[in-house]
Amino acid sequence: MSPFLWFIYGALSAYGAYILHHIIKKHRENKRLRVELRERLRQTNTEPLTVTVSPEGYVLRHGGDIVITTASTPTSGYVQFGNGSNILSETAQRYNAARERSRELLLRFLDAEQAKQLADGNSFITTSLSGRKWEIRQCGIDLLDDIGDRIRSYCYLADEAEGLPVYDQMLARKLMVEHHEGQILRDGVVTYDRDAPRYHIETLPNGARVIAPRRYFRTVNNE
Amino acid sequence: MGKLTILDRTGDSEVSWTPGDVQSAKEAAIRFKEMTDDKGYLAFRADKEGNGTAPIKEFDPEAEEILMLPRMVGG
Repeated sequence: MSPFLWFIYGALSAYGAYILHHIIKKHRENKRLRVELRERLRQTNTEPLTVTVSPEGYVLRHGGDIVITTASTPTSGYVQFGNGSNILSETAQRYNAARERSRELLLRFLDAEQAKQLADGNSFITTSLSGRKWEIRQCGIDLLDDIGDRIRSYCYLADEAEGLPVYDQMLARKLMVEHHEGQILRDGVVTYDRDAPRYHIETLPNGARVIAPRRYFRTVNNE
Repeated sequence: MGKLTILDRTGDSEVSWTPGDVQSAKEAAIRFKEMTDDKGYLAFRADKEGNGTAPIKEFDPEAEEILMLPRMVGG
């Protein structure tokens, strides 16, 4: 075999050994992290599970660790932790029990029509003292017009440090709509406004006008 | 029998008192004051069937149920 082929053979062998070394190293690192995570969860098992809900999604925290984060709020069903450890399963059970308990409490404060709306669509409609209709959703509140179309959406929730189950959040929103509507209008974060202009118009120094959807001008909107 | 229903991460927790029993009502009133004054909770008087609620500022020993919500914020 020519020296050149020997060289190629040697180089490929060295590269293969290098790749194998990194695969083994990564495998060991992953194993170490799994053991460490399991140990940390065991140590923090007494820590409460907190749930943070926002328009962007929801985050579950157990101790100092984020257990689950997702871009969409679950509209039905319960948390499952797949094939995780028993500790995670226990955490899921506590979360599900709290969720079920909060659902039972909420149902005590809904009339038959609202309970049906909740069962059908995970939201219900209630009326404030001013006569405005509001749709209470799992992840916010919608102010409705006379025919039930959405005028504005608000993100408004119980202090997140309390980590309330989702149906407790809905009950809290219901009571606030019915008795403290002004606070929602004042403090709620508007996440949708039907009457807001959809386009931003800006005149550049050279006189040209730029017209673009407002989402491309987030900084401008926030000012 | 009256009860404070405090919304929390377990769903809710309850503190009950018996009308006419000064001691149990006093303990519930202390808890009510702690939650509203120190933690900023909001209180609503309700009947046990959930028909009708009304905001309250002071502990009402005659209430059938008092619901307590954590401070609400824009998110």
